[in-house]
Amino acid sequence: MAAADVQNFNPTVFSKSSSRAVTESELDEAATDPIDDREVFDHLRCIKDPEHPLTLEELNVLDRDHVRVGDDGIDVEFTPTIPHCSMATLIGLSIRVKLIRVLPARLKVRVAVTPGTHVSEGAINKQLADKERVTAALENNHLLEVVNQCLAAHD
Amino acid sequence: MCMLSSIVWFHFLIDYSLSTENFSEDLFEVVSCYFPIDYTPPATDPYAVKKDDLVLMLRSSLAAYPGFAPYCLPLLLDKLSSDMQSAKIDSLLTLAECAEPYGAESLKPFLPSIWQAVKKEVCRYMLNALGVLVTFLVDRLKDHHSVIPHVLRGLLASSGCKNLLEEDIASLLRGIFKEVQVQAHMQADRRAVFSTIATLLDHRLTDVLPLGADFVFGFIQVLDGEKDPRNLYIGFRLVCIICAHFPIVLVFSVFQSNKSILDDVLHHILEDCRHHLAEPELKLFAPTACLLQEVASSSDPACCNVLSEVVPMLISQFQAHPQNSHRKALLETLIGFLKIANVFCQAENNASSPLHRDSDQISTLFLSLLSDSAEEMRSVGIHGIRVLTQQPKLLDKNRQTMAADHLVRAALTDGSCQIRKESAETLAQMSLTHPEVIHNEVFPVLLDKLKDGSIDGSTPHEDVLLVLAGVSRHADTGRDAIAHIISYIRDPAACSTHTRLAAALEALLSIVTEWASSGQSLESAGKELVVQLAALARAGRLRVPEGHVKVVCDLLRLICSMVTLSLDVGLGEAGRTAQKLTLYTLVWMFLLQARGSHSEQGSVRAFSVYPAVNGIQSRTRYSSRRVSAYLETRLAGGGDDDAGRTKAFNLWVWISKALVVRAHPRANTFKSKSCAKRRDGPLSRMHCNVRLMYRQRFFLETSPLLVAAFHLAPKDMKPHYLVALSIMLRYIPHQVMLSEFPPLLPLLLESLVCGDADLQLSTLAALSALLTDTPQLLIGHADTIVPLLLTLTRREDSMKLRISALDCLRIVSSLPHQVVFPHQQQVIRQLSAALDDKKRLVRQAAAKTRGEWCILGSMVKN
Amino acid sequence: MGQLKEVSCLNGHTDRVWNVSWNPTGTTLATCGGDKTVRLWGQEGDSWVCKTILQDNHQRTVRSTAWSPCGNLLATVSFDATVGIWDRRSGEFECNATLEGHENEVKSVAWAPSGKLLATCGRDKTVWIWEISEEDEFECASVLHAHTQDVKKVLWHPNLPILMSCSYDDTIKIHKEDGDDWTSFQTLESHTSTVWSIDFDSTGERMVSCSDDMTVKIWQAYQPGNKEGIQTTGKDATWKNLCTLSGYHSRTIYDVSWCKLTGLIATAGGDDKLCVFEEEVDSTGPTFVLSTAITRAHNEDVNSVEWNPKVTGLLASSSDSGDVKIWQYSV
Repeated sequence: MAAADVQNFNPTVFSKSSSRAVTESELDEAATDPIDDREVFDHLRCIKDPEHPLTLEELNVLDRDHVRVGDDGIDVEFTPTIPHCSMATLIGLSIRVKLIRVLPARLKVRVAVTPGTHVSEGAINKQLADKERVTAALENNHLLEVVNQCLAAHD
Repeated sequence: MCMLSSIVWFHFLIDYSLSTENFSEDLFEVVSCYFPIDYTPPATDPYAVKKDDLVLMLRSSLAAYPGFAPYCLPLLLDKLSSDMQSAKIDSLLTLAECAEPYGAESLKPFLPSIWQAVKKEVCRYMLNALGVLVTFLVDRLKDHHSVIPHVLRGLLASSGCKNLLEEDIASLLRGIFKEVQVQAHMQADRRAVFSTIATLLDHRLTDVLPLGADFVFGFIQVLDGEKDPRNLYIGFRLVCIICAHFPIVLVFSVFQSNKSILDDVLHHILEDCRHHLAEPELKLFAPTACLLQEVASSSDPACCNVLSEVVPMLISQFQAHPQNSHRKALLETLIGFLKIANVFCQAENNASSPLHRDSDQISTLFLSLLSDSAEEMRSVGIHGIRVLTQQPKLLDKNRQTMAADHLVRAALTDGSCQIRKESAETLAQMSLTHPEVIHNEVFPVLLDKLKDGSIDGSTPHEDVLLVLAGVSRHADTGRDAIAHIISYIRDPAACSTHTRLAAALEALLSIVTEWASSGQSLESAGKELVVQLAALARAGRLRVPEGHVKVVCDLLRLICSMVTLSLDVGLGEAGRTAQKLTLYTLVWMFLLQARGSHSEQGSVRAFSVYPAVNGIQSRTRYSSRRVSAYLETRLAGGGDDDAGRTKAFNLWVWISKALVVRAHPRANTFKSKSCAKRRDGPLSRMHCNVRLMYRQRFFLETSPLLVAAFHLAPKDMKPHYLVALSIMLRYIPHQVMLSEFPPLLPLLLESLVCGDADLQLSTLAALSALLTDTPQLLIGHADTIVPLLLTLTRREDSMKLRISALDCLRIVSSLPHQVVFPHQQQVIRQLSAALDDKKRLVRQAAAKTRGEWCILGSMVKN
Repeated sequence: MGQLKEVSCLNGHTDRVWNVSWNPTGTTLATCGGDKTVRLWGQEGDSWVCKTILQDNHQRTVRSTAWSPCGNLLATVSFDATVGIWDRRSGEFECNATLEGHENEVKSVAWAPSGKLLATCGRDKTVWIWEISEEDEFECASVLHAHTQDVKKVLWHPNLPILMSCSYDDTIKIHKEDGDDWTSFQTLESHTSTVWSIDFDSTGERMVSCSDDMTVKIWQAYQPGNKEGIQTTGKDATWKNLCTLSGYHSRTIYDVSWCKLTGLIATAGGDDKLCVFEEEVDSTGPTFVLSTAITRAHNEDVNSVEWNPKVTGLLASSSDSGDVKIWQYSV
């Protein structure tokens, strides 16, 4: 990406949280581990930003408090690094795609911009909420490649 | 940095004894101006020189040259009176270090001043509330006697305060020592004083230390005349602390070179202590003794001096007091002195050493105690003898014999278990320093006892054997002992019970262990032993019961390791035959022990044989044929005896393992027979586990057999072959795999379908490895593998299995695109169930795998 | 109060099923979805089976299908921006015409009752009107750019030559032919988010709409000279929001169907729920109440619902989970 296109030259980098320790109950065959906030967050935190070689967690676009798992579904709010960030829709899309790929389909997911953090949050949220638009967009190979790049795991 | 290096250079200079006489004063001037070191390293110091380094260096440089003494000592005394705490401490420590090199003569004129300085140490009065209080209280000590108890309480309370300054402590103690006639007060007040001193010594030792001799003298005044046991209890404890920490003794050792000065000092001390040692009630006995022991241990001449005075005193005390408690205290003190003497007088060895003069008396004394009626006295006697025997020349021949006699009787017949134990230990000690005595006196007694075959004889044979083992540490004694034990075992009348046999074997074991650890070269003896044991086994004398088998195993294992050390190539025919026989006998012996149903014991036994077998390089055709024939008959014959067969098979396995590792041609025969044996389910499972050691050649030879056998085998036997296969596959290099793999694949796939979770896990591991390392092998089979793996991801009984299958599936996604793409939709769909698995770890694996499958064909997929 | 009973569960699609559509005789159900195929289901005895699979025509998701009024033609629209017209003249269904013109995803298709006009709409914000000539040729009659956003559905009025369309721009627009061309002459604004679907009652006087704002709205046409005094323009009726049904769905309502036989309204929601409403008349006027609801009609979002035009109470629904269900409503 050309330097002129990169909007946020000097993002603040936040530290990564440590990996989740395995608990005794998780090793017990009989116990059921419910899906919780941390689990969903762990799926998302390694998503890479389209512009910087950093993860969404490191850029504080995503943090644990903004991932909530409730009875009625999962709520993910992400905070673009700057209020005019043009990558916001793409980031939201990446999050949605990741969750589609790793969460059971019975869970309803809402991905939205953290209120008050982007000038076009209404429009972005509406797009991200429209599953028809999302599906159609992902049938576009080029866009899919960009999303896959963001989701690529390097561990 | 340069300062440090220059100090080092001075040191160097002085060490090399260059003629520095003329320059000593100048040299001293140059160095001493740095004293005391007041240096803080800068924060960014690249050399990181610490203040302590400089201080220590300087100190050692000052101490390096005795010629500095006339200049240094005044300097130190001067610094002692300085205002700075650190300077004072530094001076004292330097003084301590300089004392020895400077020598007694140089120090002598300064000694009074040194003590004065220490005494005169008055710290600068610092304004602090606690200090004001302490000063006030100390002043009040001069008041009316009715006030003093309360003042003492106050002082006691202050002593416990953490913020008490060093100068306050000093004034507190000085005040007490000076103003308070401790023994004139009531018990409660005296106790307060003792407690105060105790608190200060316990918690503020470093602050009390500078008071030095003043404190010690003061304390002695406090303690002198004390009768109450509660206070004495505290007092004695404090004495020990004082002896341990106060450098009163150091000064004495300085006088080592100058005998007369030492004598004077010691004479003075001994005079002082004499009347304490003679105290009828032994009140201050213990602390005095302690003090004297400290003094004695400071140097050789001091030791001789003190001992020559003290020992006769103690002996006369002993004779004067018939009470056991007194005697015990006296004797323990005596033993303490003896121990010190052992350390110091070893080098001397002259007749004028005090112990020699009194050794007769001492040894008579202790010997007489050995037959005392009171157990504790006997115990002290034994202890005394033990200490005496540590010095080879202290006991004369007669007395040695007497001692040994007494001890062996005590070890065997004394009523108290503790006494028996101590006697045995003392005898063991003696066997090292006086082996001939043991051999001549003790052995006959012990052997005599062993001859008594009756079960209810006076002494249990087990105890005798134990003692025998203990005294056989010396090489010669050991060999004798072993010979005797062997003949004992051989004699059915003597060694008539299992426990006796076990005890005898234990004794053998401990002797041999002692040999092994002492590093003595006793291979020939070891071989002897083997032959003898073999003879015993043939005669049927080695049948131990189940509980004692371990002893036999340990023994044989030990012997085996000794024997193998000596095996070499260039032996003549006779030697080879001997080795063959040895091996054969060993194996035979094990098989003869086959009794009981403990399979673990069997493997222990087998394991013991393994090193022996391993050590033998070749020429085992004779023995192995016999062995294999025997094992075959056992395996075939004992059809119903599962456990027996298990053991025999175990042995077989270990032997074949050893042989294979040695690439022995015999191994092939074993292997083919093993394959045949695999008809037997339980045996084969064990066999498979053992396979881990086998190498590639084995794989190549066996896999066709394996495959053939597999196809012929009945359904329930198949899992065993699969286990063997999956384990084998993990250790085979790639090249071999590529060519050998195709016939094995159906087996692998079948094992994925079979119900057993462990087998499936094992197969999955092998499959994953194959997919990662040699994916080309499996490309053609992706269509079969993928559905199998998907089924396994739904196995409810084992989350490990689900995770393993998911991981394997993830690796499959890395196969070439055209191979995996057709399965993409199916896999993605079916994995959605795994995403909702009840276990988080399974979900994580599923997420990873599904993610990989979702991006098939994408440029991101690597 | 009534109840819905599941009659049949149709499995076959390998991806989400976007749309269900009954043919005019109510004997065949057309379903289409993300697997790029269209399946036709028919009854054999008591069960429903897949009779035909129409595939290899569209390159991407097939979003919607519509039967012509005669029942011989089936229009399919896809995210590949094309419209397929299938007919049975050869005996089997074959795609004999492909209409291109939309710039991107085509989302809905509707046949006019006359059978001479076809309407399509899509993400390019346009509504296309196609005319069918005597020779069964399709020609674009008009492209309407009325909406400002993605158009989700088009629907012809049962009696009048007017077309309704609803959109991502939260509005419903009404179009009619005006001389040579088509114009949009009314915009219905009430919903606060995307309007996903609309349907008419049997008379055409009332319309129901459902939206992402989780509400269902009933609209009434007020004809010129109406007694309520609602202003009208020319000969056109004015549509006004009559009532709003809310609180029945907790997520987007994707489809709504008004049964022409019973007057029941069925809704399909992203909360996996199927609701059936019936009309009640009370002192304040007509209102709709919940007759029955199936909270977990499918395992995932319910995308589409349609009442059978001939069999009373028969209802078809489809879901993201890839299955299609047939329900029977009874009181």
